[in-house]
Amino acid sequence: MPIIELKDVTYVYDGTDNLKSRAIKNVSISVEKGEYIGIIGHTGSGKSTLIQHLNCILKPTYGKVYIDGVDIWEDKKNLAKTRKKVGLVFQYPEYQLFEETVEKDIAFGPKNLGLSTQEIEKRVMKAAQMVEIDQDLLLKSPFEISGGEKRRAAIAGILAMEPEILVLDEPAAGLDPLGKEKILKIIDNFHKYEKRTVIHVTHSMEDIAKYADKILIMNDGEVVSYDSVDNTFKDVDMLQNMGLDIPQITKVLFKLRQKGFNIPSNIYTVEDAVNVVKNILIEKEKR
Amino acid sequence: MIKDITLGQYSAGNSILHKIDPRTKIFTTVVYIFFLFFIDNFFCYAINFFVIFFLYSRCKISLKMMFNNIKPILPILIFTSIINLFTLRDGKIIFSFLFFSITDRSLLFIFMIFCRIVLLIFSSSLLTYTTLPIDLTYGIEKILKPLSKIKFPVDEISMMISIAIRFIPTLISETEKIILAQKSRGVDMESGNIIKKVKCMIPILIPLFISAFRRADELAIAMESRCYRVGQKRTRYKQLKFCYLDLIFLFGFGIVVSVLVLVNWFL
Repeated sequence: MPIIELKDVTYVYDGTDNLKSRAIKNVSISVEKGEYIGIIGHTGSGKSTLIQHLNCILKPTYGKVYIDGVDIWEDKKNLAKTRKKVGLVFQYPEYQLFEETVEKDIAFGPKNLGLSTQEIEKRVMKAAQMVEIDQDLLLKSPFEISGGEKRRAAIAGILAMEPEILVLDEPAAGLDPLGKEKILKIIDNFHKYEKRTVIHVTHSMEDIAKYADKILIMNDGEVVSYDSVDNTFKDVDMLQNMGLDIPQITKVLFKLRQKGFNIPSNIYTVEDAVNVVKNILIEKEKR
Repeated sequence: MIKDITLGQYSAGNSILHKIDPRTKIFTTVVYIFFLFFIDNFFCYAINFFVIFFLYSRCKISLKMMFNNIKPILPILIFTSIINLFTLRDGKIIFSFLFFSITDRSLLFIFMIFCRIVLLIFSSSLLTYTTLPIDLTYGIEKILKPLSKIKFPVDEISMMISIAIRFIPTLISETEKIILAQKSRGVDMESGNIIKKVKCMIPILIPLFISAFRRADELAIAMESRCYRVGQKRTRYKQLKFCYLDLIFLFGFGIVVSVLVLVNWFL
């Protein structure tokens, strides 16, 4: 049984039945437990609207959302349960920090779940470790730490709730390359070691090409493609027509391939590319 | 829920009232309201209502929008009317019950007050319906300009008001975002007693205040880097200018006021 299933979900944002005001149209997808899904699309393609359906923030105008086989809008009492299962990290989550110390802020989510003090403490420590926040940082005010640290603290606040499904909306936006890499690594670790389902929304292919199992492409409120990373990047023209970019390194290799070099098409990281190019150069020298 | 708050109630249009200078509108509205308090002739009220409805229809503002502004004060209006109805004692008694009595004078008086307040609201909302909040502030600034001779900080106050108006929508969308974020962190805002509900406001208000301060700080830096200085003379990109439409409007307004004066005092 898929952990997330959307059936024909349409969301109309102003109550009218105007075709223009449909943020997402007839979206049907299913996600298996433990998958890492990258959702990608241009600004206004409906990706943020889509993920807000996953934890009862938005109610679909038409269609059904099933989490773990349960229709989340069937019973209003399920709301808290759904939010416990699905952790949603909004864009720029550092703007929701409010407590006196980072520690207290991370504990806010678990506290709302009604856990015991010991359990909360355990979870806070674990989450802080996952996002690489040191012991002395935990006692500082969330307003005196750096931007990247704030972002990680805010993500830790969601991780500490130990959601089955972690949904992130542009978690790396506006960070420097190093901070970005750190966040992506944290998400990947949570997926790998905690065996959780991850949904990662972004507009940069580079962010997800390395980690995602499948990529969902949205355009104008509709699902254009929902396929494995390799298959998605095969259709370079389609991606570029939608204003989406393939990772820079893939583009370079694509050009090289066109020039007749023998390079496999499923390379998305600089490290892999370096190895491939190295091999080609070595072979050339041998000849 | 938050989206429903109307801010400034500008309704875009192309009528003469939309086109004329805000100063003309402010001036005529003030003068009109002043006259309204001296009118005590039924015929005058009829003329007033006719003129107001005519202007509203020219501006293409729906009746629903027009009466929306009356709604919030209606309970107070009715309440004071009832109090007045039984407490005013001059004139002939036309109805009495136990120790309550209603006189013909009191009925008349209440009717007049009622019309006066309704007209007052209609006319002042006409101003806000046809003028952008920013233009309104600029108009007020221009009118108050002479006060700067006595060291009254007109420019600064109008700048403050403009900034406040500009940031209301921004802060509203920010509030909505924070509410959603805290909801998905498990804040339950729908249930619980009043103390619990007040406690729920803390995780929303603190981030909101912090972001407001952050924005203020950034704006101050941006303004300073563009050489904004308190007390310096500034010019505007968009200048207010009187045009022939203002003259036409003032002329029409003059006619209405003179008719009202004639009817009220000489007929």
